[in-house]
Parts: sequence; C-alpha cells; structure tokens
Amino acid sequence: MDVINNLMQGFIAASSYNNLFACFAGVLVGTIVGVLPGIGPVGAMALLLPFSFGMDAGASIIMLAGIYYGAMYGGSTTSILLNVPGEAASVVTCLDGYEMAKKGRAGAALFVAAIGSFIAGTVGIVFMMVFAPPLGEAALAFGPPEYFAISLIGMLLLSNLSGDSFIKSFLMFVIGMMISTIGIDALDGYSRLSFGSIELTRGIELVPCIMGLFGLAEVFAVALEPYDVGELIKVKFKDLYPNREELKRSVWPIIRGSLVGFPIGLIPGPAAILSSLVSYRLEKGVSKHPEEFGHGAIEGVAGPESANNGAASGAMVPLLALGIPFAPATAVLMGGFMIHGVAPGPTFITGHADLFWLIIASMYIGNFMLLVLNLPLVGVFASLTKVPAKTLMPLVAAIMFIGAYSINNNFFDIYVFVLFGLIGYILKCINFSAASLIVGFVLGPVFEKGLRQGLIMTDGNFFAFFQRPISGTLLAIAVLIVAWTVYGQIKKSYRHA
Amino acid sequence: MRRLKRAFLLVLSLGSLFYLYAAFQMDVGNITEPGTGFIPAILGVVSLFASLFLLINTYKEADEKLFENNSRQDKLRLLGYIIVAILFVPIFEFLGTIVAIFLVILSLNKISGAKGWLSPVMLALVSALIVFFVFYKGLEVPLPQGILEFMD
Repeated sequence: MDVINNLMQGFIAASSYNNLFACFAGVLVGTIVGVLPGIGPVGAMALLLPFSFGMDAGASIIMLAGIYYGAMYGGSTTSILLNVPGEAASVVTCLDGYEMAKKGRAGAALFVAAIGSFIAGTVGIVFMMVFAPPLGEAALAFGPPEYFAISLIGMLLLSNLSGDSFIKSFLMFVIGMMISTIGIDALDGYSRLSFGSIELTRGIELVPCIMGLFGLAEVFAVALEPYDVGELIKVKFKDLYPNREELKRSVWPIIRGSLVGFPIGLIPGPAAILSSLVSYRLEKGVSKHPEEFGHGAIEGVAGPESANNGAASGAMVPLLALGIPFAPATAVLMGGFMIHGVAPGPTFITGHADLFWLIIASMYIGNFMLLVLNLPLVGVFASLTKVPAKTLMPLVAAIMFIGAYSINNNFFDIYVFVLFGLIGYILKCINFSAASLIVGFVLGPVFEKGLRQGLIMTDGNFFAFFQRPISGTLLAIAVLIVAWTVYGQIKKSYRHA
Repeated sequence: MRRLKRAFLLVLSLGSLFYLYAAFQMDVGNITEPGTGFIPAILGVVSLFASLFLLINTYKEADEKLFENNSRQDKLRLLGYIIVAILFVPIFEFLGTIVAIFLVILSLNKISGAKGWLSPVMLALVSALIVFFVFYKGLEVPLPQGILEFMD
C-alpha cells in the first residue's frame, strides 16, 4: 500500500504546472535530439544542464530524464523514414524499419515502435519502482569494500562491452579515473596534481568534460562529414495503424523486448544499443520466418525499440539506488542531482522519498506524453532533419560554449570543454570509448574511497574483502570476468597464429 | 589512422609517466594506511603499461586511412571548426558574450559553406542576442559583456 500511496503523492507533485512543463520540455527536446543526427542524448542533456539552474531539483531531474528516454523514442523516426539512425540505439531499427517504409508500411512501423517504446518504458518504470527501493535499503549496509567491488565490476564489464577491444576501453576507464584524482583528496584533504593552480585544486568538472566529449566532438565530426538526408518518406495520419496481422506479430516481441531491455540497462556498458541487438537476435531466433528479417519484419522493429526503452529505465536503478551511474547519460543525471545539492544513493530513496516518487510519476507521465506527441507529429519531427547541419551545428556549438562557462562562471571550464572536445574527436577517429572515460571519471572517487577505506578497515588485508558476503561475491564475479577475458584473448591469439 | 593512434598513445604513455612521477611525489603510504598518492600510483602504473602495450601493438596492425573519403575542403572545414573553438575563449573574455557568439556562429556558418553574407549575419546576430538574453537575463548567468558593457 505504501508504494501506491507514495506513487499517488508523486503524481500529485508531478501534476504541478512547473513539473509538467519540465517533463514536456524534456521529452520534446529528447524527441528532437533523437531525430537529429549529430546530437546524441548525452550531448543534449549536458547542453541543457545549465537551463536547469533556475529550476528546483525535481523539475530539473524530470527534464533531464525526459531528454534521456525521449531520445530513445525519437531515434526510431528517422531510422524508419530515412534509414538514418538519430542515435546509436536506433541503428538496429533501420534494418527492418526502413524496409517496411519502402513497402509502404512506414506508418505501421512507427506505430509499433511508439507503442513498443511506451509499453517497455512503462514496464521498466514498474520494475524500477519495485527494485530500486529494496536495493537502496540493502545498499545502506554496504561498506567501502562493497563499493570498491561494485566499481571494479563496473570497470571490467564496461571494458568488456564497450568498443572493439577490452584493453582500449580499460585504458580509457583508467584515464577517466586518473582525471578524477585531480583536486582535493576527499579522504586526506590534500591538494593533488594541481601544480599550484586554483582551478585544478577545485578539480575537473564533470559537465564540461561530457559536453566536450559528446557534444563538441560531434560538432567536429559533423563539420567533416555533414549529414545529408535522403528523400523523406511521407506518412499520413490515417496510415498510422498496423493491420491485424502486424499487430499480432508485434505483441510478443514487445513483451520480450521489455523483459530483455530492463536487466541489460542495469549492466554497465552501452545498454541501449546492446539491448536492441540482443532483442533483434532473440526475435530472429524465435521467429517462424527468420528469412524476413532485414526485409521488413515488424518483429525487427517492435523488439529492439521496446528493448532500448526498457534499458533506459533499467539504467536509472544503479544511479538512484546506489548513487553509481554506469552510463554517460546517467552520469549527466548525477551531475543534475549534484548541482541541486542532492546526492543519489542508498539514502536518497528514504531521505528524499518525495523526489524519488516525483521522478517515477513524471516518467509515467513523460512516457504518455511521448506517445501522444510522437504519433500525430511524426512527420513534423522527421522534417527537422531537413535543417542543414551548417545552420544547426554553429548554434549548438555556441550554446555549448556558454553552457560550459555558466557551470561555475569561469573561463577555465571552457578550456576544459574545448580540450575534451578535441580528445573526444580523436577518440572517435581511433575507435576508443569516450563512454568508458566518463564512467571511469565518475566511478574513480567511489573506487578510491572504497579501496583505501576498505584497506584501513581490514588492516591492509585485501583478502578480508572476499570474506564479506556481498563484496566477496562481487569480487569472485570480477575474477571470473578477468579469467574469461584472458581466456578469450588467448583463444583469439591462437586463432590468428 | 595508425599515425594518429600512435601519436595519441605516445602522448598517453608520456602523460602516464609524468602522472606516475607526480604520484610518487605525494604520500603513497602503505597497504595498511594508503596515502594520498596510493591510488594515483596504481593508476599511473596501469595506464603506462596499457598505453605502451597498445602503442607497440599499433606496429602489428594494418593501417586504415583516416579521412580517406574526405576532400581537402572537408579537412579545411574541420580545421576551421577547431581553430574557432580554440579562439573562442580569448574573444569571449575580451570582447564579451554577444560579440563572441556572433563571431562563432558567423564564422562556423561561413566555414560550413553558407552562401552570401546577409542571412549568415542575420542568423548570427539574432542567435547571439537570443542566447545572451536567455542566459544573462533568464538564467542570471553573469556573462562577460566586454566592449558592450554599456548595455547593462
């Protein structure tokens, strides 16, 4: 009953004009960035972070979360109508969505994608509501060894799942952690690696780094290769309905996609794209007509689109319950929390129950808004891709410059932003994972505090970490991951020899 | 691409070496009482080995040409974007927000291939004014006004 009461309170708070506006603004901007190639959801969230300064914590998080899951919706529109994925997670949707559009079934594909996203998003929120509070309560008993073990698992899984090589992602994660050590040491209070600079003593800010890596780097990429969209397939409102057969074939893929997406969202790594791929393979595997995949199978749209929305909800659980973001998008959300003096984590759900339930309720409302917004206005959103890159990108760059400055009102943050923009672009060119760098940057302090405090606690006996049930289990999993990775590398080198 | 990757990994290796040196200037402590430099020392060693390993590996990899499909004009456009990004801060600091945003939008627009002057100038001017008023008046960010300080 408590859950229902809390949720009702959340709905009452979420229905205020301010919060409804924040939610609407978030999902609208999310849909737009999902549609537009070149600006990903992370870049857009970082871009809009300064706009949240004047809002209260609740409205600010509602808006940022809206951009995050709104982008998942928007990404499918251009995948289906133009064969251009608006964001990475929608790449898979191009395979069958565009083929359906070529056969005159674009309306059906868009409808199924929107309904699938809505259902998976809603199921994901229900799971989040069920799992996050008990996980938060359990995490109250976590000590430094547990936090160390969680961040270690995060590091290993992310390195395994991101990019094309374990060692490259791992190196980026470590570099991120190294950057996080600049500034005041949270345990001893000494200034580290600041070389006498006041700006470096304050440490490197997360938001300009994210803006640079995911925003400015994209602007540079578009400068080199401006996107050029082909002919837009027009869809009339009356065509936005799948036929009976298509609807029947979509039901199970949507259910399976919702169930597959959420747990993948919990895992550190590129959850949205990974969940779409897993769902696509799953649908192809269980289908009675696997030969239709790649030629316009509606299951190839319904499953992946549901899965990436489920993953977006799943990714919120570690952030809200443990205070640990496993993905760049949730790292920006964490930045949003921090700006308003709210720390997500085990005490967040009990200490800020009103805020937690407000976010949950607003996500239900946001999902409904997306459904209402996306179906009738699909043509309008798709036509946004016609805004030329040469008009859009300079404006985006200018807003980012001012946004970077406005975090602390200093010029140093703009230098950081430009530097990370260049680094992000180089990483993109040489296939290194910028996501690993950012997650390493965020998890660095958790890792350090966990290991150092844990060692002090156990008198330097690292094996005592293995004797605690939770940290012991997590570290055993970490050992297995390392063994599996080493085995994979050896097998690969034998194959090449 | 291999040359860029090598250059990047070389910079990372040297950076890691320097970081490691800086870490050992701090109190590293010991395993029972890890000090301020304990984690930086570990991270420095790991990143140094990982970047050297990857650097050596680049000599075994086949080269993939970077920017192979891009024309000279594309590369110049990218270079223009980078130069504008680097020059933004001094312009912003000394000439103020409106002038800096105006110049950034106009120059990026022209570099991107916008034709004529009237519409790029109008776009840059209107965008600069909107961005300034949204941040300065709406969000109350104390933006530098530079040569347009009299407007306040």
